[in-house]
Amino acid sequence: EAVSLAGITETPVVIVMGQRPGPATGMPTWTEQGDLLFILHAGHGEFPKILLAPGDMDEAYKLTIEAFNLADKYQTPVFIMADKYLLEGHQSIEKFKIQSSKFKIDRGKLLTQEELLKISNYKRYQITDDGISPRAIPGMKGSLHQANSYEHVEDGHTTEDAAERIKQVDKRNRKAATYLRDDAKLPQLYGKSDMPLTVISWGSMKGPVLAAMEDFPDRFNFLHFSHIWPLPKEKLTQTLKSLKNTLLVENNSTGQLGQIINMVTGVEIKNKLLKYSGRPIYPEEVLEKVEKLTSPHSLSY
Amino acid sequence: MNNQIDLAFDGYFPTWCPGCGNFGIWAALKTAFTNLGFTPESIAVIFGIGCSGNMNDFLWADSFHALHGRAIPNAIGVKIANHKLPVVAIVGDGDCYGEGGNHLIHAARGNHDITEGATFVAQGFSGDINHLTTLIEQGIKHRGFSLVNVFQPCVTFNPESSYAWYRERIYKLGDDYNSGDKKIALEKAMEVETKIPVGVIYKEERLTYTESLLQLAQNSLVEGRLEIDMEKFIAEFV
Repeated sequence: EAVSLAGITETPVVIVMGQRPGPATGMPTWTEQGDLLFILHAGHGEFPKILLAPGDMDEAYKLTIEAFNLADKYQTPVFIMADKYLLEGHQSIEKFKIQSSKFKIDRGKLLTQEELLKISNYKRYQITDDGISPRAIPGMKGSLHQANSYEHVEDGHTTEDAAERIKQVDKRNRKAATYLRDDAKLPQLYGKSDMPLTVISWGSMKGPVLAAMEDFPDRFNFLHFSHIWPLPKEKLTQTLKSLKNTLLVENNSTGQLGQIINMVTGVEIKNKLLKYSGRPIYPEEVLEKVEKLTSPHSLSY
Repeated sequence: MNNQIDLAFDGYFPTWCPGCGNFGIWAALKTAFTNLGFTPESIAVIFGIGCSGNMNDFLWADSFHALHGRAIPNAIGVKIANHKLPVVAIVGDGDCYGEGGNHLIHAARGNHDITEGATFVAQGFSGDINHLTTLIEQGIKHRGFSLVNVFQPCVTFNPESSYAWYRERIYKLGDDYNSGDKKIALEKAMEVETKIPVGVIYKEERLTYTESLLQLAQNSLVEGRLEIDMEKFIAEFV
């Protein structure tokens, strides 16, 4: 409910999703990457959402700051996809990586009182080219508006008018296009280029895969998704089609990232290593599967 | 009392049924806000969903039109973000007492300083606008969670409980009524069949939620700085 509400009232919000095995109570003290599609579709109705998935402590720190900046910039819900393995894991990182002077807090189009006073007839849901309206907060002079869960016109008043509805839907959807133009990130490639096999994974499985790659640096490389939605379709399709062979590695039973990739690019990743026992994937399991896929009989050249 | 309502609070003309009790409540709210010296931008009003919630378009202020039953959590959020803002939640019975019941209980327990219920409980009648206005003003001035339960006729869906029906039963609590006694208040609250008391049923002073938070002693959250010194935070891990 609240996600959908934030979508239409255009309220910046960051939500950390700590995944454990479901469904329902499931295994609450174990780990899984089983809620990606659930979160992608969280909240009824159509509105832009941003999904980030940190792979280690460094990304957990950086992407949280980025999440707040993105939420403020796009005035829409931003999810940080985590899981018990990440959230209750311990890792040491270099101190300089988290010294705050490197990161900037960016509040997007949040108006100061001075800026607001210069605007006559302020409209909270003003139609703009990038879909993002200047934002005032209650209590400021000149801020008068309503954040409305009902469909609304530019100043927040309720509407059921067809033309006005179309304007606001287009405006909200336009924010996703702006994100794709300005902020969308492609997955990060780790390891040597031009390998016979590329492992594709997301979020906290970064650790186990990188550990496996230390043993087999010449057999595979690793495409890691820390930014999962929205996805830049053309660039991603190009990247995937350039790979010789791929292995989807996910801590769930239905390969949810694989489904999202297929939906966006049309590329289906046939080889899969899916683990859903409540335990995270172990490097040994990655090595075993890579071994099978890259042994002399299975290599196709 | 000043009977000039600040027209700035007017939104669209209401779509309520002629004779709806909400007209009286609407007038009382606008009058109370004007008397207390508020402007539409100096308060936060949170609406629920329903006929009462439809006031979102008719009473114009810095406002949030929340989901069914969820006005209170949103109001609490607004208050915590900026506890210097007066916050009023305008809700209906199905909205607040039905779907939103659990939120009402916890807001009262936490004594969140939003006008809707608990350390201050009053009952009013939409047909007596002047009296209702004073109750709303008192509720807003009260430091803590205040509930003003308003009886109103619904001419369309409940014509039996008409203005006449209410006028036969409603009586004002006198000056000798002790609003500090919870036991008596509970008894009064149970009077709904043959007589209905209006006025301040119960009132007590207790620390509000935001008053008890050290972090808000100097500034509201909205005024506070966002940057923190990470060195202090990571010191224990190094």
